[in-house]
Amino acid sequence: MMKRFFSLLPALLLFLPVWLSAQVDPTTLDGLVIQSGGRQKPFGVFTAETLQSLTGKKEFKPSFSEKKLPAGEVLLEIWFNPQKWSKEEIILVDYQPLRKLLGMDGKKKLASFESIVSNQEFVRAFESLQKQKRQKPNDKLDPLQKDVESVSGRLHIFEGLVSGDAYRVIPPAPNGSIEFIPVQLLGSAYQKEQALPVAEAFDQMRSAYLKNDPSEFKVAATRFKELAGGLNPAASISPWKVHLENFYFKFHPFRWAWIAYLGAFVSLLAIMNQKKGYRIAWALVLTGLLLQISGFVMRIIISERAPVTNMYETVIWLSFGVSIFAIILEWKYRCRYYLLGALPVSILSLLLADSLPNVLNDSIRPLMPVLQHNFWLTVHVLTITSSYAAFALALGVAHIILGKVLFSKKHTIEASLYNYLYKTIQIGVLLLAIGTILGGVWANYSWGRFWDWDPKETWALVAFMSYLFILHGRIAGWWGGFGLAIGSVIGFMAILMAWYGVNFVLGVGLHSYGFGAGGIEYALAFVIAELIFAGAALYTYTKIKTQTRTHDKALDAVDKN
Amino acid sequence: MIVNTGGIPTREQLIKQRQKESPYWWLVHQLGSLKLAMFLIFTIALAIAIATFAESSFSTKVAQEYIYKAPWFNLWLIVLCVNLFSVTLTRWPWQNKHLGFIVTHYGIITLLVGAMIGRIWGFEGNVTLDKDKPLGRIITNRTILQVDSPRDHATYITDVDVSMHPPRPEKTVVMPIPDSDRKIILSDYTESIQAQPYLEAAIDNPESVPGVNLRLQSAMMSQTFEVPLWLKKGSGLESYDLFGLATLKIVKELPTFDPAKMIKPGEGIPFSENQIVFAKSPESTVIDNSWGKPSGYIVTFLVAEEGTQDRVKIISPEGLEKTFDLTAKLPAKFILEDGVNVSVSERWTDFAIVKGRPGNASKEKNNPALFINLSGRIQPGPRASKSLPHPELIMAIQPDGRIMYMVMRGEYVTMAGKSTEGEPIIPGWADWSVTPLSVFQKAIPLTKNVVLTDTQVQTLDPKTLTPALKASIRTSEGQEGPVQWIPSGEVVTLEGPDGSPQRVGFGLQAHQIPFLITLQEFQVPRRQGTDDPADYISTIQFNHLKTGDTSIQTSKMNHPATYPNEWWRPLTGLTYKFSQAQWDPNNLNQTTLQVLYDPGWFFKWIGSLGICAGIFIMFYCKPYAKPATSKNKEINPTTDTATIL
Repeated sequence: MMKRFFSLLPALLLFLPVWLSAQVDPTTLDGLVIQSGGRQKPFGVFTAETLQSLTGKKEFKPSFSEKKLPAGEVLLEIWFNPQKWSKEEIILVDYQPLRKLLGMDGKKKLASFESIVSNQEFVRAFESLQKQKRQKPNDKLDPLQKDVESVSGRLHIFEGLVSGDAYRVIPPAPNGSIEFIPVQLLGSAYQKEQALPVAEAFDQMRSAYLKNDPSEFKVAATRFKELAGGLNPAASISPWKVHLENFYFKFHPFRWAWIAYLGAFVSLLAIMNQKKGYRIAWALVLTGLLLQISGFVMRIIISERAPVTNMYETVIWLSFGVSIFAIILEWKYRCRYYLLGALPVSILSLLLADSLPNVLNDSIRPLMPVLQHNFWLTVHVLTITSSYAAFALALGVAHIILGKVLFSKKHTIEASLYNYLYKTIQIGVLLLAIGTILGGVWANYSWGRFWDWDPKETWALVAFMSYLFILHGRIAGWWGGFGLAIGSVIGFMAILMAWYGVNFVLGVGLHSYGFGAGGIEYALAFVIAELIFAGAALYTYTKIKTQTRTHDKALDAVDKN
Repeated sequence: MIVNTGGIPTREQLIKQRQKESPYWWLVHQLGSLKLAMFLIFTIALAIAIATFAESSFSTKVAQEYIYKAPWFNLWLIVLCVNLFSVTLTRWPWQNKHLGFIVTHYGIITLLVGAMIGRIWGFEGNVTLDKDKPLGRIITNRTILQVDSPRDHATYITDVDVSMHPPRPEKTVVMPIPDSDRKIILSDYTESIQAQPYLEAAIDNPESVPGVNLRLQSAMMSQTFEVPLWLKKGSGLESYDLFGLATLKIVKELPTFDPAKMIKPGEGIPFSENQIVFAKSPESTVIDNSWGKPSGYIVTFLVAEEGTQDRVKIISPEGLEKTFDLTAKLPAKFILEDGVNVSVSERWTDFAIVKGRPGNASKEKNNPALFINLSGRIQPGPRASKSLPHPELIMAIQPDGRIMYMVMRGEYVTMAGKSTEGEPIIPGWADWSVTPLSVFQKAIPLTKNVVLTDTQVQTLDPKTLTPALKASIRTSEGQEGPVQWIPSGEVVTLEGPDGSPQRVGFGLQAHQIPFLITLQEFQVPRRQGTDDPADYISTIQFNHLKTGDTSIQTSKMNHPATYPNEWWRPLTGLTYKFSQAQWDPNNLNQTTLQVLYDPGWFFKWIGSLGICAGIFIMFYCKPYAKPATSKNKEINPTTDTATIL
């Protein structure tokens, strides 16, 4: 089998360059610096993010193509050939009722720019939404209005692309401005002598693209990149940063991390009680951790801030925290339970972060100027998310306990396992207390109010009190280690509410039909699954205990006799 | 349990015994019981969790009134403090291992005490500063009723609820008057009251001049309201602007009537307009119309390619389009469908001002232009009305009490006539009618409070609307005095049924501060290249009235200004924090700051520190941590009876 493959290889290699050279390679422009979304980024990242925000995916099949085109090609097509695109069905419409309003076919999710802006009902809905926002800015929007807003945002992006305005690849003239400009404004910012060569290079690149001449395109694109950047080298970010971001974007360190963790998990399970499996697992876990660290380092350099600004960043940080805590505790206790409990949690969260780009948006956006370089924001958010990580680890360890009660034949749980769970909860409780209080201190410092029952604050307190309840119940003797395990599951539901629910459940409103946005079905499914799991374990546990008691009573009766 | 058969009881014995022997200790142990603590933790957590859903489904106000600020919730917190304190007593005499436990629990109590102090002695308010205008008061968010005591004229302040349960005619609110058995009855509340002028006869008043109270009515716009017109120059009451559609004016004598300027019904308003139209820059058209404003006819000069005719395109205000071919022969005359005459009298290939007059700079077609005259009549129509002169209803009061009026458009008269009290004038603007209610030869303006209708409110800026309470005095016998509106921010004298005065004020409580605040500068730097604000920076000067101390500070987003600012003040909370709250994009000489004074801050952060430190000690400081639980046993249901885990 292998022999045949190897014999075919030279033949394949012969054909490969031919196949490649038949197509213009959009990745030539990946290193071009473009200003978008408030910061400078590589063109390759811009194309993927823009297509993602327009269509919800990183690839698109236009009507004139037989197959799906990658983002780079689509965005080049629009740049060099904008005319035909207003009829292309490229605008994502999420909300089913809005699709009906626009008269879209049942299964279709994408509509064309033209069909939307010529739809009278949409225009009316948009105008009344604008009016409401002006007159009653504090009124909440219903799900239809929210989608009208999203769709009009996408229309705006589309217009920017088709007009060429969004392709801000020309650095600003050295007059103090920091705004990059599109190619058509070259003449207004630069003198003729400077602007002309760049304009010519652009035209050459464009015609090479339209002729579908790959080698000419490569030459022209490279020349255009050099000339454009050369107009004002001081204004662009350093080339190494561009390369770094391209690398970060293509390498997906967080994806490789969960793959490594998956490998560790498999080897831990498969070779559970043997040293070899344990060692392999350790090696893979450390590899995964290094990948995560490298991912964070790159992300921090690119974004110039800590990863504290959106749900995606909290999810990858949580996964990182789970891994760190698990490694530290595992190193201390060498019990295997920490790795076994942590790995599914880490894998799941990184997997979610990787596969739900519309809910967990991984694009790097700059912070509002007033929040940049904000010490409190960073410390508060990282402490809180680290506490979430500790509780997630506790959930993982609790799963082991509950799993053992449900599935293990011997129903034996070492006391030390309960202790490991307790240790994990301790970390979470301490961090959550500190993090919540830091939030209050920050609020007091920044705008004079320590606590004002904001839903996010309140739910952090509810979660804290839930874990307090669980710990105090153990002190009271009402339950023991198993109670901690059940409590870890329920407590984490409160954590989920504080972390995710406040934004996606409360924000939407209970009585609306906003379900479907923000992945709420997944969250609900997760919660239900967890509660069923815990409920089953509790039921089994109680059964065992009563059985033991009757058994003991019977024994006593026998003894007495 | 180890029982000493000697004399000294163990600690455990001691604790058990004192509960039996002393009722006080028994109470302490009951109040400090873990069961009570668990109950409190559960119910408080549940209550605030529900509150977040209430807040999201209804509003923050609802959540605050029914839960967070409700008396039972605060009682719960007090019980929590008692429980926390008692539990520390139950462990008396304290041992080393209790350190973390004590610090945490007292930390929570301290935090809650700080919260209470802040609630009672702290306050929250706003202050709107205009540049260079010092203020010494802060408007809080507390809506109050201010009542003078009839006995000593001291002013009493009490909260009044106008947001959750405002007084309504079907559900009045009764407020007591201190030192009196009379009551104030609040029978209604409105968000939008306006002090409106009206005229009243005043024969002996030297200020009085002629005037008329008019009623304006339109069924189409569902509006009915009254407006005075008063002949005093500079009073602001000589004219009235009807929603920008038309103006009503009062004059001493009507302008002389020129029959040539009379427009019969159905006729259009005559105009004659000259335009210089440029082919290459249609937006630069030079227009000169007899009315002084453009007629609304848009002329475009379309220069042809080789071989075809130049053309002129004209679009009327109503939207009718017509294009004419332009031959070489000038003047070229055309007539539009609506009867307007078009005459092209000059044509240039390269328009320029040559020797002070319009001429050709060259023979090249560099700047083709036309001189066009449009003349005719324009009918008032839905779109044409904007280009026509502004309609006016001009009235003059005759000595016999009648009103002579003219309805004009620019210098043209569309209607003229006479009217008396009660006789409506229909000027021909939609279905508006203007009816003189009372005509005066000598009158002065007064104001009365009028509740605005919903349709009127919609047309106004929400910030200019004033809320008001409707109030009256009721004696203990049940007699009620006359009803009056009290607008927010005003003190009104209510009359009892016997005519005795009672001063009552309504509005937001103002808090006097010991220093003056003056806005020196307000800046809103924008994000590069856009209009979006990047920050809000207020430079404020503080002048302490007692110490004479002066300090200049800036308040920016996330960086409030605090004053007084001795080093110890931010730590104790005995300082005022001014943070950026609102701004008016149209007035950069004004800023609104939120003011917070929280004397409980000291306890809040000390308590918080205690909580965190206590938890840390309990968990991680070996000599001070509780010993690891000894209740660690395996469960093995088939062989082991030990089940406590």
